[in-house]
Amino acid sequence: MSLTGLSIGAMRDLLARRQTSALELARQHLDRIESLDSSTVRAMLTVTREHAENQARAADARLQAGGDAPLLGIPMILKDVLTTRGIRTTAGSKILETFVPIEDGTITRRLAEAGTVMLGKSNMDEFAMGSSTENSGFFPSRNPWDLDRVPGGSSGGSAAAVGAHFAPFALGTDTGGSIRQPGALCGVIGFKPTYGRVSRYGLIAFASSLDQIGPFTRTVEDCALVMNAIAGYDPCDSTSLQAPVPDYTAALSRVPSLKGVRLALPREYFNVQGIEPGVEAAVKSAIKHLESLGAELGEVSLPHTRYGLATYYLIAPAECSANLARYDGVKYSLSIREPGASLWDVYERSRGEGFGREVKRRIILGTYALSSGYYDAYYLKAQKVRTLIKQDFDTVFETYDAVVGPTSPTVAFPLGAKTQDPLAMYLNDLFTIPTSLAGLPGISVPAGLSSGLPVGLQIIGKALDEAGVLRIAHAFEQSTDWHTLRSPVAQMEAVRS
Amino acid sequence: VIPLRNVMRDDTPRAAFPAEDILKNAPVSHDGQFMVPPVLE
Repeated sequence: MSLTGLSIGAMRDLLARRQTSALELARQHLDRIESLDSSTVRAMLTVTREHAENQARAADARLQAGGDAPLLGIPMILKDVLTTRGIRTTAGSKILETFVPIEDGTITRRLAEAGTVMLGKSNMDEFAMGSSTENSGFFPSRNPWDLDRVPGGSSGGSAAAVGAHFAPFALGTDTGGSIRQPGALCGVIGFKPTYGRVSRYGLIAFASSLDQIGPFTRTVEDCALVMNAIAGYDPCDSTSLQAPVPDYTAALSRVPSLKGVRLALPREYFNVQGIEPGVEAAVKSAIKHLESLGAELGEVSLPHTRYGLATYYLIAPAECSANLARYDGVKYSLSIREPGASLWDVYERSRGEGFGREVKRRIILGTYALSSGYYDAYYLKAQKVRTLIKQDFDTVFETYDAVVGPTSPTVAFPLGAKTQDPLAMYLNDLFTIPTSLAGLPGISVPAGLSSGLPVGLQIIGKALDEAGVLRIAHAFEQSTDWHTLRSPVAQMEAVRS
Repeated sequence: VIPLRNVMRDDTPRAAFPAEDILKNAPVSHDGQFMVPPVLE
C-alpha cells in the first residue's frame, strides 16, 4: 500500500491500528525522495536515511509501548536553516557548506520529542533571501506542477517536497513571505504564525525582527497538528511570547460555516499593477465562496501598503547586515587562508567567495542604510513607516476578524525569468510583506488554478489569533476541492530500493 | 511609543558547551582557541 500521499491524520490512524509502522512510513518516503528528487524538483540538500530509520525505530518502540502522541512516527522535512545536531546545516550557503551544528534548535528538539521522523533538510534561497530558490548556493529547486518553473522561495525546497509527496509536512521560515508564497506556488498550505509564537532558537538568523518558523502541509488539520507541536514560549528566545497556546485542532469545525465572521478585502490587494488576471479571478471566486459560507465581506483600505516593499528592503537588509557579520572565516564558516594573508584578507576572501550575489547585495544595502548620516533618513524612517503599516491592520481589525486576498500576484514563473531583475523578484512579496512587518499570522491555502498552475488565497489574522485563521482556512478547504489536486510529480511512482 | 518595558529574565547560570564542541567547526584551532593570522606586525 502506498502511504506517501496520506494526511498526518490518516497516517496516525494506520499507525494506531498497527496497519503500518513508523519505519515503513519513513522508508516509503525515503524511497520516493531517493528515486524521484534528483530528476524532478531537487527539493533536498541532505537526505538523512540512517537518522530517519533510527528515529522511526524509536517511534515504533514508543507506539508498541502504547504511546499515542499526535505526531509520533510521522515523517517530516526541515528547511536547512534550522540547526540539527550532528547533521550538516547550510542555510543554502557555500559559506556554511560543511557546518555541523553541535546542538538542535528548539523546534528541531520539540519535533524530535513529539516523535517525528526527520527525513532530511530542504533546499532554500541562500540565508532565506529570495522568492524562487534560485539563490540557493547549491542548485535551484523546481516546481512539482511544472519542472521548468520555480517553486517560490525562500522555503521552496520544503514547499516542493510537500507538493511532491516527499513528506506530509515540512517546516519553512517566513521573513517577508517565504512560507506563504512558495506554499501558494506549489499548491500546498503554508502558514506563518504570529511573530514570537514559535521559538527561533536554533534558527539561523536573516532578519531577527521578522523571521518566523511555520509549517507546510497538504491539509489545514495537519497544519493545526504541527502548530500544536511547535507553538509556545521558549526561554532561549528572548522574543518568544509568553502567551497560552490553544489546541489548534479544536478550532476546526466539521461543518464549514463562516456565519458571523467578518472578512476585510483590502483595496490595495486587488486591481493593482503586476497582478495576473488569472490569479485575481481565482482569488475573487474563492472570496465569493467564503461569502457563500456565511462570511460578511467589506472593502477596506490598508493605505500604507505601497510603502511595504521599500520599508522591508531597508529593515530586512539592515538586520541581515548585522546578523551575517558572524561569518568571518574564523569560528565556523568557510575560511580561505592564503599563506601570508592578514586577518583582514581572511575576512574578505572568505566572505567574497562564500556569499552569493543576492546576499552580498543585501549586506551592502543594509550596511549603507545603517551607516552614520543615513541611519535617520533610511532605517529610522523605515521603522516609523513599519508602525504605520501595523496601525493600518489595527484599524481594520477593530471591525473585522481577518483580511483576505491573494498570496502572490503571480503563479509560478519560469526558472531564470526574474534572476536578472532583483526588483521584479522583490515584487513577488507585495502582498505578504505588510503582514510580516506587522508581525501578524498569515496562511496561504490552495484556492484554484490559473493556466493550470496553483493559486493561493491568503488569510491574515490578528496577532496570536492563529486559531481564527485556521478556522477560516479549514471552512474554505472543507467546502472546496482545490487541496485534493495532486501535482504531476506527486502522481509519479517511486522505485523501491 | 512601544507598549512594553524591558523584559529581563533571572540571571541563572546554565551549563555551557565544552570548549572542544565549540571548536568543532573552527577552520583552524590551537590549544583550545580559535586561530587567526597575526594581527600585529
